[in-house]
Amino acid sequence: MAIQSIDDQGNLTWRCPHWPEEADTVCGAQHQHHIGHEAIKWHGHPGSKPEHQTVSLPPCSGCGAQTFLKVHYTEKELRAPNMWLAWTFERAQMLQVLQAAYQQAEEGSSQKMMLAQQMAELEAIRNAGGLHTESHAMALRHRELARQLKAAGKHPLGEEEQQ
Amino acid sequence: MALPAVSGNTIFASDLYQLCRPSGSQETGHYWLGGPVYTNGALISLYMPSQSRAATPVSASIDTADSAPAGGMNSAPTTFNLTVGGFQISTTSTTGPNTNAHCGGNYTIQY
Repeated sequence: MAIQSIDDQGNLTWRCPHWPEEADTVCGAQHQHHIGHEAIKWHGHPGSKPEHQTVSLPPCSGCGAQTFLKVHYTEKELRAPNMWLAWTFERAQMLQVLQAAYQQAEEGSSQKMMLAQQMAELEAIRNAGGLHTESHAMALRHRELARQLKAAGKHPLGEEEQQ
Repeated sequence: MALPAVSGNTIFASDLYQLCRPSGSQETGHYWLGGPVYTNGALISLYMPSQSRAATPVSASIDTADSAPAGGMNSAPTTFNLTVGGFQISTTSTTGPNTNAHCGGNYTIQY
């Protein structure tokens, strides 16, 4: 959610990720905007570093919430567990446990199918030596938004006067 | 799955899950931003710590469902400084002097 796509012309599509506590599910309202929209801009404390600032999306027409995107990521942040699925000793052990359970499971049972799916997910991580997640892809889209904003003359707070 | 704890209480897997959010998950809650405003444009700010301490957030969303901006706060606040530990909620859209500028609502951190 949040930014689903951004093209070279600055058109972006996004889904509202807001989930009010009283609601049964996430808002999920679908939106399309251009980076020239007046509400798409930088936010931060006066004097804050550009890397601490966020970029706002227009208020959601579905729930009224406003979403602020993290657009600067360190390499360490991009290696967080929700960004990068590393092939670890624990995952290798888990794969062995699943493989043993798979051998024991009744042929054609739903349990065997579920185990096969879990094994396939772990084997994909092992075979690739680690996998990037959807959060990582979203972080890259947010970075791209920041790049296009700067190219279009929308600069982080405190950097305007340097341009 | 429940894990025995030294204190005799029980740690559930869902408790550990909150410390490290997987890709695509959300953390939700309420915030309340308030304070005295000594002059126009004075800053009101709070830091909202997240339960997660390991996952990198990609966005934070806020509404003002609990209380619309009032008492010298002129518009909904903004958020920034979004890190593994939490994020900042603040505004300088204020009119002063006022003793109780405030607003409140839901927040959602997306991972």
